[in-house]
Amino acid sequence: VTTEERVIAQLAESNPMPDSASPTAQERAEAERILRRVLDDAPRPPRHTRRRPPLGILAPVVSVLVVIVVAAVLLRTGSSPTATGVSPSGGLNISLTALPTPQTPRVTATAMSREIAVLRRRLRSVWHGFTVSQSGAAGIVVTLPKAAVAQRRRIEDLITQPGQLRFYDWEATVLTPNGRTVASQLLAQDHAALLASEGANHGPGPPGAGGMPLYDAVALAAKQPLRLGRTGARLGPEYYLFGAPGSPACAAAERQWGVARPIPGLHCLLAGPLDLGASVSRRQAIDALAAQVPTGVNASQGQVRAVPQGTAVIQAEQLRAADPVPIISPTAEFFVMRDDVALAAADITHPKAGLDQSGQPDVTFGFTRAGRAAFERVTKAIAHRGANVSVAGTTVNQHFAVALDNQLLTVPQIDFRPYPDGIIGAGGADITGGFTRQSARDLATELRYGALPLAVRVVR
Amino acid sequence: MASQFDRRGAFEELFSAHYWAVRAYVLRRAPSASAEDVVAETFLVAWRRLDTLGEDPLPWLLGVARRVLANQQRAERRRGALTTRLQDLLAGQTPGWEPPAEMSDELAIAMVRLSPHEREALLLVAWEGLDPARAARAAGCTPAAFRARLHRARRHVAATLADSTIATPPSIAGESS
Repeated sequence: VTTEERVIAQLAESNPMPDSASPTAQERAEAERILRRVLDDAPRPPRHTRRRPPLGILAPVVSVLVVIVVAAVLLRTGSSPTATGVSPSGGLNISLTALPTPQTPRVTATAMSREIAVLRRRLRSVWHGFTVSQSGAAGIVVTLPKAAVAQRRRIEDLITQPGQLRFYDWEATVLTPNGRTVASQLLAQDHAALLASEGANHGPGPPGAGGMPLYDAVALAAKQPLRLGRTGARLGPEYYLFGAPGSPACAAAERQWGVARPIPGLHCLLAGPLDLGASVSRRQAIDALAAQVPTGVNASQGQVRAVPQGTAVIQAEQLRAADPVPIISPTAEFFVMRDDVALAAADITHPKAGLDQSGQPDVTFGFTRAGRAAFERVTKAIAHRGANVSVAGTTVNQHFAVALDNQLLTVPQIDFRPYPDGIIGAGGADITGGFTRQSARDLATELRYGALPLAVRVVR
Repeated sequence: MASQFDRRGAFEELFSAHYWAVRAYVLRRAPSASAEDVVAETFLVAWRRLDTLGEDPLPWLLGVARRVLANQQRAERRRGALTTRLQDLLAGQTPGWEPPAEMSDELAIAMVRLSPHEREALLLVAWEGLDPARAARAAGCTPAAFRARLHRARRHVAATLADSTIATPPSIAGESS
């Protein structure tokens, strides 16, 4: 069978509405509505109209006929009359508990209604046919009658992302193991700086492009000076609790969380990261970490590390969104960044996933007035640096980074040749390349719906 | 008076026989929000032309739905933002076809690159399951022209699939610049 012959078969498999699907009660009601609508709108037959019978006589007869025919349509096509709420395929029910966050310290009725509104918006952009309802003071139930069990993970991820989105000047903020920024070492051709800036095979950002294990990243981050400013994403330190390599505590964590066997010599994460805001003492933070440790482990068996305000530890990009590497995985990689946020979620508007001119998946977005100014400022700095470090005929483009909470999402380059003074944000911006259509849609969704007021945890 | 009822009866028979096929055709090509209008408009045209319909009206109905859909998308584009229109102009392509989520990226890219005629030819066969003779009537062309279109479309898609490379590193650029 040639590729050419397979085209039709491949297309048939991607049919969004196979003929076999049987209509739901709602769809049958829609059919009835449309038939009524057409008959109401329909003009009397043209030309050979005879004398119109008096409407008073005709109307009841016609409507009886309409009812009979509509019933016939419905009986003929309807085949699942018993289904109420849950489709034959099963569907999904996801129960959630809302938890306070530093920004919303109490679970109030107002916070719950905002939470539910944001969850609905998030779901609506990727899903049709669902309900989100409150159950009790802090419970939320999401019902997706059309979802398959295999989609549970992705939907749960979408729901539970708290959604602190930040944009950075990549090379100016990411640090090499010596604690200096990548940007400051590019002209010196420092090996670690070049690797973080240009990446190995897939550009900067993914694993294998200068990231480090979590413990090393946190240790480096913890050594950074406190940098106060209004541009950081956090107002206080971020706390971690680690177990020593090969310790009983690490073995307990491994049992409890089912992580792959730790690489010998690596510390393991016992609790955290915890961002408790500005006014929490170290003692209180340790108590909060202690509440998270695996069963049978005492918090005193671990080492507490605090990343000061002004520095962030961010996980490398996920290469496979469907199968993300969790933070506790021994193979996860992290970058240490100066937490100088160039733009936040509130600065951008109308994010949209689509296809660019060459048919590749892309994500486009616009800016608020403040966002546009900030975007032009940061892209100008990035483009100028690209020109500066491209010596002797080389092209060393510099990058912009998008992170969601502690997760790097994408690190697109800015080509300084067409954009020598950065990107004018008047018509918006367009990130292209490296996306699948699903990952483009996921990014657009994250860009669109910023933070949830409350954290949510899935109840099993 | 008899003719009035015959006409309604004939129409309702047409509706019950083909409503789901027309609706599926529209939903496969347009977001569900506007589908109801397109389906209603299609059957309204069918009501007016009821006397001229032949033995096998489905291909004709799909052809009407295609034109109603195109008109609606043109109207939407007129209402759309300037940047969107500029983007479409710059891209030199007819917008208005959004690949379904079920489609692989490689196939979606290949389909987007086809001309609207070629794309429609493939979809009428693959999604509506029409044979080339009926599909030609839905597409509004002769069977010979349709077979040529279908052949060209399949060759283009197969060629794009053969050398699809989507692993370029991401870059960020300005819109409509």
